[in-house]
Amino acid sequence: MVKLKENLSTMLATFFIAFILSIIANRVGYGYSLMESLPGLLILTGIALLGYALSYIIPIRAMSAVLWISLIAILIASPISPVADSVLHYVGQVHLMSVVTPILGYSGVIIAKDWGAFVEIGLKGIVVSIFVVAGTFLVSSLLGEFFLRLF
Amino acid sequence: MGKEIVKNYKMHLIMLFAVIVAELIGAVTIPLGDITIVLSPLIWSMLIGFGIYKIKPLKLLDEKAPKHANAMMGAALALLMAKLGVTSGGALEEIRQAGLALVLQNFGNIGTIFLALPIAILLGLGRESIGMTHALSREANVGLIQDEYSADSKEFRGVMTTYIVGTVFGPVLMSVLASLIISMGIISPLAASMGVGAGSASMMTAGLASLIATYPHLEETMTAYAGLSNLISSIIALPLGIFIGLPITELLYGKLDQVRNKKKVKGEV
Repeated sequence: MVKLKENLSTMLATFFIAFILSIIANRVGYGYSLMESLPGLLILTGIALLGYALSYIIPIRAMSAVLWISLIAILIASPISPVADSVLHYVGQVHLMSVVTPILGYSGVIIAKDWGAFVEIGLKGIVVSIFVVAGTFLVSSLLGEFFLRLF
Repeated sequence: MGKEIVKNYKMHLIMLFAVIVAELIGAVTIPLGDITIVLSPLIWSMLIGFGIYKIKPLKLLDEKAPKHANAMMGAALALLMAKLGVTSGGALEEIRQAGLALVLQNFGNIGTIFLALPIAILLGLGRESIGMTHALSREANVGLIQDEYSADSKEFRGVMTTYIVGTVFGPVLMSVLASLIISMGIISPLAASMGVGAGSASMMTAGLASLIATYPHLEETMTAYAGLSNLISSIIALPLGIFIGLPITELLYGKLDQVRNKKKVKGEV
């Protein structure tokens, strides 16, 4: 609870700014008006704040904020939720990328600060990334083959 | 810290500018022979944020900016998690109908750890390799690593590297991989369609295109399998990462790092 109070001002400030940036991205990039974006983004912000609050109030180590947020979001939009239809409708008017574009903007600042460390990763990082994609595809395909034959 | 973040209004105005310019540019497609590279708005906004911080003479961003940017990413990633979660919740019924094979197959998404982590260690990478190899880094994984280790950590640098490389080159890579595996004949087209679904939507589209080129008569079934696999993999990305992927990666990293250090002492490497 103490931690929640300590972080409250940061949370409100950051969510407010992220909210504004996403509304604008959703308008400029995907043509949704302010009134179309507003309900969906309010729902998303509500879920996110609730998730953070729960992660502070209920101290289970494995349940991080992102997991709480994810869980609440899935439940509220799943067939068992009485408000699923409206949640899906309004959140559907918030394009995924209008949330992602601002994140990558801020990440650019952090990458610039740590640029030396990124250069050190450099070519090795590209090589490993290729193996990550290849490995995921290979193992997933092989497992797919296995289960297709099994069932 | 809330007031301080708001006071850094210059950074947020720069981000507003970055977002608007990025979305106005939109997705740019670069054709390279048969394959294409797509640069989406997220790449532009990242480059603008990067460039403005790097051009020091302008003094538009001070040394506090990265700390505040870290806090901002926490909030924006939380919104993203909520968005991904709502999309997942709406698709639960589809997944229930998809069948067990498709659901179980997606657990293979973490199989990459056993291939990519040893390679990262061999190349001499440190804890960056944990962020890089715990899963195919998609948005949910960036959120997970930021939440678990903060944006200041080596793990975060790792996940950002694979996320960016994957976003830019992933589709090309997936289309080449899909063609390769099909020509080797060990995997059936349907299993390969499940495999191309493991990545982002654009990786899936690119991989699927290669498969359809080889098996045009299977287009509909393959598209359905790839789409469902893509949906399931994005839903289980987070729990899979938290409960299985990251713990395995941490454990394996610890072991491999020990071996590496011993060899260093003996002077074998």
